[in-house]
Amino acid sequence: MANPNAIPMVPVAAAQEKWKTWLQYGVVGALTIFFSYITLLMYAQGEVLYGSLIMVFTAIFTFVFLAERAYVWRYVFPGLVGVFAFVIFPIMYTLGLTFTNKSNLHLLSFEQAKSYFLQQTYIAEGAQSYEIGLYEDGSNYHVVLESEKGELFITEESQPMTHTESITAQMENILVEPDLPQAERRATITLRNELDNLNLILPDGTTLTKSKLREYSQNYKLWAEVPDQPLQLLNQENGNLLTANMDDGFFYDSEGEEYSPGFQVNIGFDNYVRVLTEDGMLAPFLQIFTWTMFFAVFTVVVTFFIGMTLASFVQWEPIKGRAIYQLLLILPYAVPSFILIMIFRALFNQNFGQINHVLEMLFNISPAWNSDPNFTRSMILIVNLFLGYPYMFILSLGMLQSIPKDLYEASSLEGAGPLTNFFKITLPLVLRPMLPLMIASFAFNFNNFVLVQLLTRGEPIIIGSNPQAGETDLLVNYAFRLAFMGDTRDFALGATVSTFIFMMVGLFAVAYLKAAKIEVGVKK
Amino acid sequence: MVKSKSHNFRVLGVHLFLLTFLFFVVYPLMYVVSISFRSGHTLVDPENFLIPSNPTLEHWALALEQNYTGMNPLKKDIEGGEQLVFENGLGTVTFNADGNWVLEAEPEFDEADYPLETYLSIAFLNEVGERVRTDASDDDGFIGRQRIILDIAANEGQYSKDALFITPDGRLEGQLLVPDMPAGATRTTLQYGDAYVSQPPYPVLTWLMNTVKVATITSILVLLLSTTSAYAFGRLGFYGKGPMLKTLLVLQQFPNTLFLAALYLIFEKLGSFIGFMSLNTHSALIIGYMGSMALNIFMIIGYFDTIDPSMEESAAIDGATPWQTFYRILLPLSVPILAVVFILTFINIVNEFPLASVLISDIDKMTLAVGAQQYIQAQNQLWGDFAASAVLAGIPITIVFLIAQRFLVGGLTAGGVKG
Repeated sequence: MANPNAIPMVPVAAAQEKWKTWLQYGVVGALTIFFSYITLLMYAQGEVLYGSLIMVFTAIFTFVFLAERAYVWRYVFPGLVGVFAFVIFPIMYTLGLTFTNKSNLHLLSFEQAKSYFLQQTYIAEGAQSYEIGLYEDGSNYHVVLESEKGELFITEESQPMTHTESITAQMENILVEPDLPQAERRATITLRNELDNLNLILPDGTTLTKSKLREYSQNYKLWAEVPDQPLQLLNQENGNLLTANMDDGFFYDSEGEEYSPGFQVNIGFDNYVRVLTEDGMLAPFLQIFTWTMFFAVFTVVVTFFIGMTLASFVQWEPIKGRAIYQLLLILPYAVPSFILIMIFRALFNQNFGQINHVLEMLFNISPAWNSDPNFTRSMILIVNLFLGYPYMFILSLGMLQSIPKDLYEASSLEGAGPLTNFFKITLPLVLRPMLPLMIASFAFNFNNFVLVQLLTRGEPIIIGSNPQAGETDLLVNYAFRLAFMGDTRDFALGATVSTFIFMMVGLFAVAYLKAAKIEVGVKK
Repeated sequence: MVKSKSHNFRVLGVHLFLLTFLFFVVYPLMYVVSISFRSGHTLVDPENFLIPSNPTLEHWALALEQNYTGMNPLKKDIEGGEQLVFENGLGTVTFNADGNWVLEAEPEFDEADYPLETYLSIAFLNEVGERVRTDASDDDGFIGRQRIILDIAANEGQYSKDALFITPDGRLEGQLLVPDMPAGATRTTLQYGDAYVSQPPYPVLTWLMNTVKVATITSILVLLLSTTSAYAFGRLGFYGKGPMLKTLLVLQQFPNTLFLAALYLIFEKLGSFIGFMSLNTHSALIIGYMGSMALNIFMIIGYFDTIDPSMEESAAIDGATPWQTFYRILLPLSVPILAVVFILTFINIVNEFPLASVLISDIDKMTLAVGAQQYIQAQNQLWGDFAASAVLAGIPITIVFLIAQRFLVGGLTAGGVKG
């Protein structure tokens, strides 16, 4: 312990306090204004959930950092906000997602989907069309339109033609072609994307959009709302009537054809029912669950024995060069795992890899590491043993040092061999303190997403699974596959699988707390 | 203890076991170094186990974001007196069996790539396919190798005499001094270099910088927030402390991989309001990592518990505020654990793959863990380039870890599992 006299403990002068208080008010005030501004933005956009959350956060923030009573909370508040915003809230959000049909086909809310339809336009047949002329004005362009009757219109202001989003420009009447250099005919092609996004308004108020490569035409709104029928849209061109189906989140016409984009609706427990009853999902789900459990248990048990054995050897005094052994043995732990996993992917390559090359030379066999499910799983287990044993090794080293040496001396006097020593003394003494760490390791491996994702991406695909599931997928990889790897990006279904994992992890966490007997808040 | 014969055998056995085990541990690491020096992207070198039979620095140059100018040795046969036209990387060479040749340069390379070099040499073959020796042949039976360098003529003085120069926009005619075809020879074999320039496929150094930046900022923020939280939990009393700590401990078991979809959708939403939280930004990534500090809080509390609180108590009696006792007394005493937390967080962030792969999609903004995957696409597997950048990036991280590992054991015992 350091000498307490070395630490200056002079109370800060009262004069210093004053500007500090003002600084505190200033900073807290500025942040409060900033957060309130974001709250307003959220509300204005109709994001009530986010708006309310940020408002509550702002209120607590201001209170904690201004009120003397909440002094202690100033230390905890920022950390708790982090944990809340990026752990608790996402978990609740995931639970919420499971009751929706959110996927790439149903990304928008109903209102957003409806307004998407209402913005679509069409060009009526036989409508007046206008030929495009482009004139250079410095680096900008003037668009000139000539109607079939020979009327000429020009953009009031020249356009830089660099926009990427839809813009609108006002046109004015002219009598003769402008006295400007005409752009090459090719320019309508090179600028076609910009012209597509440029809407022109004639002096009489008609809006024109590009209809052909060198032509603008008048367009009309394709869809119109139906009075008193908020769920319906009427097609202005052909009179088709769309009705929103609030059960599956699509618009349908009278013939039952669905129209994209779909929208997000609540579907109750449908996702859970799907996972637990659909043939294409239940069988893969159970298979993946079994494999995940096996993977995690196998890894923990075997890495523990490897780590323990190595640690016993390295601790053994007659062995020379123990420090070097120890350093080299933890190498797989020190090298970033994403690199090691990729190296193994190269080594295990079925057709071009070093391992099959050697196996073929020695035994003339060539296991299908990439396509046969059993070999693929064996590969994953082998690689994970390699990645996982150093953790157990390091822990075992520490544990072994804490075992009193005289126990071994006593047993060797009785004539016990090394194996008896290991099973009768070492193992029982080490197992108890190792238990919580093994549970933590189990929980980690249960969710060892990176290993599978980088090594096999879950492949090969389980035959008969729909949506696709992988033979080597762990549950967490399966959830990721559903949410991010498929064409549909079914976030809701992925979240449902995640919810099952939450339950498992909850159990592990309770087991961990029990095993570790962690006593919190009883210090002193 | 008496050292018997069986004891010696046991020692030897353990050594043998450990060495065999270490072979399998170290081999993959040597292997990746080996691939990084091999030419091409082959995974197996049939001639050699570890030492590349055709070593090249190409992958390393590319990993360091340098253009690499290389040369593939190629061969062509001409029957009798035919004419041969081929590309040699500098342009089109028209070669007559009498030794006259013309090179039409195609100077479309960047000036930074000069000098580009190739060579020409010939040998005569008899019916059996063996090289026919003449007085001018070298040991392999080839005649006079001529270097051709695509260069700006002004640099002429820098090269030895056997080099022929052409200007980047020019054309050069020349003649190889070919003796008359010896008796018995039926074919002419032409050996030449095919010069090429390869450009770095990915910005590895940018990825390294991104990784260091994200990991450093995240570690500092996590350290800051978890230390202050740990102080309050460990030293100050407040309502709901116990249950809150227990909740944190449970939450720590939920890796963010489980709610990636939610995080993605949340950032997508927030990002449309707050610029620094939008997808594809480092700030969003850093903020996303802020949830993972529960474990650190416990490690620090555990360390605080080993520090005698009497000193802080006496400081408080002398009128120090809680902040002053924390900042001036507790913090200086806790430097070791702070270092451990910093290094652990840093390494974890460097290794973090799931969140970064979901939030970041621009090549330029990727971290190493995500970027390294780009080399290995389904159709195009650049193992050589991957190996060089993996070794380049892996070495500093590995060294930091090995130096820090003795401090880390304590942290690991507290329940941390490295990803």
